[in-house]
Amino acid sequence: MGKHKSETAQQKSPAEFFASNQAIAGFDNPGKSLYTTIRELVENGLDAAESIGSLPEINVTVEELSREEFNKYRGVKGAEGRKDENLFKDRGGSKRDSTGSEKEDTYYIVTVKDNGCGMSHSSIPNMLGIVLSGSKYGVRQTRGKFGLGAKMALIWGKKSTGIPVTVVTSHTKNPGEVPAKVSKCILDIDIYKNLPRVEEHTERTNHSSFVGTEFKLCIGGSWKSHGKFIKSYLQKLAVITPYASFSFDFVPGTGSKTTKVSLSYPRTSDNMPPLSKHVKHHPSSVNNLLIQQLLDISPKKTLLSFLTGELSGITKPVALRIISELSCGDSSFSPSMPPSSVTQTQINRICQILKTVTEFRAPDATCLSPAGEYNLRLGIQQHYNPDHLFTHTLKPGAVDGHPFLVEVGVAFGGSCREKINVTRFANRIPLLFESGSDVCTKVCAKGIDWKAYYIDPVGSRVEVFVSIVSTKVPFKGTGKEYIADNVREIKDKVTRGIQACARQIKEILGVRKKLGDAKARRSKLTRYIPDASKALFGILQEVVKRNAEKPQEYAALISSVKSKKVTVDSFSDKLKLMVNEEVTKAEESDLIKSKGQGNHPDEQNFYIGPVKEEEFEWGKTVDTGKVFFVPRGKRHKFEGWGDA
Amino acid sequence: MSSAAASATPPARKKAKTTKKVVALAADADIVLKKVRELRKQTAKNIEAELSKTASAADYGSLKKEDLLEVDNLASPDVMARIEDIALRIAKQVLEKNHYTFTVPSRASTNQHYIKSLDRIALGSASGTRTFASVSEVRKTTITARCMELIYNVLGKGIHITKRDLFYTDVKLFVKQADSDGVLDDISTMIGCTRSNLNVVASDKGLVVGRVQFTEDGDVIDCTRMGVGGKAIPPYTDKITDIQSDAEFILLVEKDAVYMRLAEDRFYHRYPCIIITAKGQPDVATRMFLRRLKYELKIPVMGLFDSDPYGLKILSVYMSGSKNMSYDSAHLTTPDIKWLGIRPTDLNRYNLPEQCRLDMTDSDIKTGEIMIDEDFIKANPEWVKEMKIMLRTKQKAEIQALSSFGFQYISEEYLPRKLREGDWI
Repeated sequence: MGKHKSETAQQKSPAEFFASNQAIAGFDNPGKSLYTTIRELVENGLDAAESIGSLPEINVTVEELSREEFNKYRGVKGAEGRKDENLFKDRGGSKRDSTGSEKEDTYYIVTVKDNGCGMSHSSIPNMLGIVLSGSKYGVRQTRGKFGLGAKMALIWGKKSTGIPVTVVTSHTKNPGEVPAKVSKCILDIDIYKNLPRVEEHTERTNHSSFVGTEFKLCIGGSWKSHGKFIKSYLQKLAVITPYASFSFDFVPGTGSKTTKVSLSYPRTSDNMPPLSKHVKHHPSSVNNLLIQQLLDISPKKTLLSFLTGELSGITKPVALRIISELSCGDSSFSPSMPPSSVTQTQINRICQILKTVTEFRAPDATCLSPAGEYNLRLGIQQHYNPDHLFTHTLKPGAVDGHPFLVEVGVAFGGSCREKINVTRFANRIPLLFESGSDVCTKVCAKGIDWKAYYIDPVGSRVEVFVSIVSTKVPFKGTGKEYIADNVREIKDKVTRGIQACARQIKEILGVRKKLGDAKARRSKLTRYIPDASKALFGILQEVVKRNAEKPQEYAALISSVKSKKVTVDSFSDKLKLMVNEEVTKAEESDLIKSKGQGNHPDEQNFYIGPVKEEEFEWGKTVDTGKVFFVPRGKRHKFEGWGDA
Repeated sequence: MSSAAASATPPARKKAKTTKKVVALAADADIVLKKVRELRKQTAKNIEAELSKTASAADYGSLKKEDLLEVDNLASPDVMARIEDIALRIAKQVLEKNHYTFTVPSRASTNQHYIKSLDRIALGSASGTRTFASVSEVRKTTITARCMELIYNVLGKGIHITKRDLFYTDVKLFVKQADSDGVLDDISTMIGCTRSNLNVVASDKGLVVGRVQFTEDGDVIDCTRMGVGGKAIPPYTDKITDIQSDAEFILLVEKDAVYMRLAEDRFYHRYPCIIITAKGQPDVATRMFLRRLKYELKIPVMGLFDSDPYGLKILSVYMSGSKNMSYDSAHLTTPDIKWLGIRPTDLNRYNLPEQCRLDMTDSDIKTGEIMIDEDFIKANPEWVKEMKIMLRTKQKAEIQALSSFGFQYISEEYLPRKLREGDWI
């Protein structure tokens, strides 16, 4: 058979799998990879802070590296050290990108610092260096897309630059506590073995009172193509997370044409939503694998206690009914059978039954952690300063055994952009891509009759915010960037939420319209006064001229026209008087109504809880005892963090 | 060669002979007109009986005379005096109460009543108000006042103006001619005079040709000497006097084209008659003129209309008046017009070919169904029969359909036969 290379069954590690299928995790291209890296690290930071009840504080720095700087950074010789120039000759323009500029990979040092729980010294390598290492016992509303967190960023860093990540962390379980030690770890990941490869792992005394974690990665990317998404992501994240403070700095490389960017979104609330809880799987959401897994690890002794104890929403009577239904086709099923004795065929049968039974209690939505109308409202108010803002939270629903909750905010006027703009959040993370296919965008474009709410979809400035939280957001597409509009439950809630907000805007606009009507009424009536008075007076003058005989009751009138006591103006003055009286009456009644509808200027202001950290202040923040009174008006510029 | 030269020479121009076609009385006139003459005698008797009846003795059916609003034919000074009264009343209102309101008799369909004994529509006494303080009425109120002033001036000068003239006196206020036209009927009812008493007239529409002579503002008009086009019916019928005629009947034609045919064929000489058309929906002047002819000459009126609901509707306007001007129906309507043709039964009787019969549209049928319930149709059982046939066969035909038998079929065959047979209802 000669030189036939024998097929070897290669085992792929999870890390290897993700390394070769980066697009699934949002690492489609360098630009997107830069965006996703920042995203993953920022979300990790938020989770880390929230897990110990600290108000999150996230600082992101992106430093662009010129080629020389990059080579210097990684200690590799660049173009200046080339021996054979022909080797690098441009061949037929194939190395030019679509913009026509010379395609040269750009490299960035991304630093993300949080004030979270940190990692214990010994666990650092395993937490970062093994893909899919986390335990997934139960379900929970999470921010991240896959639970891959920083690991994909690590893989991307290794792939694009080969430079390991530097982590500085100090571990604590209590907010406000300054840990005594701080750890530093430089590592990368052995993709084939799916194991960490540690270069440095040290621990020293925490002299600088360091709290949290700081990641420093050097990765390939493209600020040019995805910088705008990164900025937009942070801005939207700040809207939905007003209890966190964010700062972002982009430092261009030497000789780069890009401009420096500095963003800061200070904390405007200390009202942090409660942590989402782990809950047991709902029977409607199970599959064969999951049942298998649960059966394997369950400490329960009987099938009955397994059903009632390991899954949510099954009462004992329902469990008994399910088992008797199961035993109908297979007599070996009994309430007392041990979970370990269930065969694969029986698992299939259990799954089939569980998925079709409708007697379960609805999935428990208390495990969800929505942003809260308060935070949503505050975030929108600070970022868009709209004329009118209404929020609405809908009752929780469920899709395939997974609870979900929809919160909607609709802002009108102010600094809102023109037309109807939609901002989407899934599990409190902004969704930026594929908005055209998303259920929220589609509902806004087609499902809402804006004109019925006196909102002109083209001329008005409207921002719509839809936040959906769920233990499993029904994303569509591999990128997990949008929710399809074929999930009826979600579509209904989104529609109803937007309608509820739009209805309130309609009331205000309706009053405005009525006031406008009164004005129009006045001008319309006034317009006809001259014509009507002239016509009347014209005939009267002729009557006087003709000296016709008229009944006694008109004698006084005729003589005053004759003596010019009554003129055209007498008529127009009287009519003007009438118009003023009539219209004022109508206006007053409308105004009374409008006051009842919350259009009073004072009611537009916000009362928010105290902000503990005092490094910054809103320009006119007034201490009114327990609450802060934030006046309406332009967002005040953030001056700085102090000594950060 | 020679043939080419011959063709090159221009043909000798024949001198056009302007010989007038002399149309004499038809030979069979006495036979054809036998039944018409009988009808004429009856008509004259009826009219005399009607005229001798005093107004108070008129039978208004379930309604009393006080329940109806009927306007009078007033002289200009009277109209002016009444306008002055309205103006004074309103001026007083403005000075005392700061606003003013016109009381305008309602011309809504609920206020329209068909009086069977009079065979016409009359206006009830219900009225509405039009106030300056209302946004929806302020414009109309102002236009009403302005038009009243303009009419007052016109009357004072003793001239007539057209509706168009009126509109152009204050385009800025009126904006659309329909708006200034629209208040004229209101002003008439408020004053209690006929529309023509306002001296605002529509432009010519009606035509008359045939054996009738009259004096119009001093000029003697002979409608047999008006060429083939006939005489336009003047908007001011009050200037027509001394009507004389030897016609046996009046032929009322719906359509211009049929009128032209009959005029050109000098049908009125063959069978002495007067031919009138208003080219579709009749204007006030034509309706008044027709009424005057009928009542002064005491001759019957024969209607020649399309066999479709619309044709019948036009006929109904001549006979019982339009709803819009029901207040003046006493001066405008000509009761007892005989429906000569073309009737639904004619379609088969005259073997109208299939291509001349048209299918009725849905809206035709709907109109027909409404018509059959109208009082003026129900008043004549023969008409109801014809309507039922029309609705059953769902076919309609225009008078021009008769042209399929030849262009002159209508004047040479159809009409003489109809008249001879006394085929009218």
